[in-house]
Amino acid sequence: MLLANGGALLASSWILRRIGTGRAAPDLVLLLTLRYTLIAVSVLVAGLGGFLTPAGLGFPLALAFVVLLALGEHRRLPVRRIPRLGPLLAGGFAFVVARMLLQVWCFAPYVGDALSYHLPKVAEWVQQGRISSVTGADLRSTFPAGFELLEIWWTVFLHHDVLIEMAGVEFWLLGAAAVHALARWTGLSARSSAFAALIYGLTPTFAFQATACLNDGAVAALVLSTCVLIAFRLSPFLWVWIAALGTGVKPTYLFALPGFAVLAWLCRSAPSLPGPRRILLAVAAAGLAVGGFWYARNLALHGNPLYPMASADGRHLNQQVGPRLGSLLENLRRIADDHLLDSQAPYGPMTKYASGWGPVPFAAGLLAALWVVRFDRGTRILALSIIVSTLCILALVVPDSWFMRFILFFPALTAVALARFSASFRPAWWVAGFALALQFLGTFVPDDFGIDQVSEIVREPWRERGLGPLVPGEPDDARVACLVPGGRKEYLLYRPDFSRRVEYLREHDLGRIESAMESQGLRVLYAPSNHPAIIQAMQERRLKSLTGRFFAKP
Amino acid sequence: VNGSDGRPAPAPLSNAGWIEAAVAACLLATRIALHPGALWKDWVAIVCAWWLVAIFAPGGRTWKAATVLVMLWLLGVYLVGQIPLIVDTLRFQL
Repeated sequence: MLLANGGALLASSWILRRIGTGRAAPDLVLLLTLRYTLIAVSVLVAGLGGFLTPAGLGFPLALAFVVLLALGEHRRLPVRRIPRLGPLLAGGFAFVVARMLLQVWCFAPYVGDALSYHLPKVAEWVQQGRISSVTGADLRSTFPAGFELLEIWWTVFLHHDVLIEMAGVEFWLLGAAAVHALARWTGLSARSSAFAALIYGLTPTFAFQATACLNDGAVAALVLSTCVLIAFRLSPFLWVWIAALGTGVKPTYLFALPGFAVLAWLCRSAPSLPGPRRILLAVAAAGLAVGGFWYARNLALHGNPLYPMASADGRHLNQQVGPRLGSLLENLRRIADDHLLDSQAPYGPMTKYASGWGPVPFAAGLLAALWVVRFDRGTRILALSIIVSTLCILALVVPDSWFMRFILFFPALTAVALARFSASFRPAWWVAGFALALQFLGTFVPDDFGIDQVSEIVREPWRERGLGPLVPGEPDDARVACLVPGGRKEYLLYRPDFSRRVEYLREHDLGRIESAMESQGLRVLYAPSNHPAIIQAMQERRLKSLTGRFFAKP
Repeated sequence: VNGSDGRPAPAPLSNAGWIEAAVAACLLATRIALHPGALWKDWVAIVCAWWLVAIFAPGGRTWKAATVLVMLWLLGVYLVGQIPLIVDTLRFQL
């Protein structure tokens, strides 16, 4: 695993030297995104080829590591060009990163959405050693899985999910690097830019997203990285590349496109950076493959690239297709009235009825942004782009309890503005510092997990560390059946080391469910108790209820 | 406080300044009309009031005092709502 990770990093550095800008800040963004692309392509190829195993996935990149190390590629990494930050900032980053790694080690996947429809496919594909059409029992499990490819990378070598949160940490780093690069682009010093990155990195919801196996933080990082590529006038092939990656992580990335168009238009007078066409084309093609695969698969399997959206199956999902003025106005009203106050819920990766942006943007960032955009053209352009993207997203998403996670990139604007503002107005630095310390304190344990649960889980050996069992007294069978659709939090059925087999049954009729269980030698069924077949089975005593959603043949 | 390029802050009553002031005043009036009883914690109203100060007295002592006051006020408004939640999440015994 270590060699393969090193190989992915050095191979990314090798490509970067051919398409990079020669400037540390944007090159760091390129490096991290190239690394993600290489890993995603490797996992996709290995998964489709049926060799998604530690050897099959790791050997080519471990070999690349040895070769590139011998060629001295490690001496050319752009991280070596980052200027010294000073003890306070360097210490701040060290604390935050060390705590995040500790969270990766201590946390287990815990968010309902991740357990229900993001992670079952990770468990299934790692267990099977290949990417198949089986994605889980939840209708939403067919959503694009670009982020899950990185989660597979962090689970396949240990055949265990103890490091699965590292996928989010990689995108957290990308988001911080993107804010650093954007701040440099607006003309801030290296230290002030690093301060902006730290401010953004400690945004509570963004920080918790990194260790929650959710993809909204990844989308925010990719939105900001797209702004970096456009602002620094990199090749449009790279714009296509990163846009495809973003779309492959979550379609909400596309909602931000108008803001990118505004940014590109306002930066059009700056000279663009050329690059070797053949490599740029290859990078763009890799991005399109990773991002487009999920839409092509849905088109092939369901006749609709956006399935289950815009289909009869998806009508009960609380999501809209197309912009609505009503959604925009209601979302804005909620932001203005209470969401920015964060008084309805503690911090977490979803932060229900709140923004989870923290006190820094609220108390100082908004004022700083209003002040700085009046005088600084770079920040003004960035603000216009981010505001346009934000308004488009707010018009395109339902005003539900969690819509703020779709605009998680917005605090990057207040972070950049505040870093500039506090450099010239010292009281702002003190307020920001105090508020930042509170954000650090508030982002130790997410509300959804709970400190008691964390204390309990860290006492277990890491091999057994997980949130399961789903319910007390859960049956111990090595194989269980899971009814489709349904499967609430069924990732926990697989166990942290993916040692339990989950067989998905797509039958609706009770007789067929029984015969499928019989023919596959399955005793236990995991299913929603309000499923018509389960109701019938209970009335006719053809199944008995064990505990929770578990049923068995009498 | 100067702009990033070292120039002094521009005069506030240019055309752009008047447009800004009109936007800030309209927003402030709307918030006063919508939430007359809760203005002390209405961040939109507080920021708009500060914005008007920033337009008409940019960079001066009044602006500096108003900026510090508003930042601390907003911080207080935020903490009143969030601190109990952080304390509860971390199970601190007060």
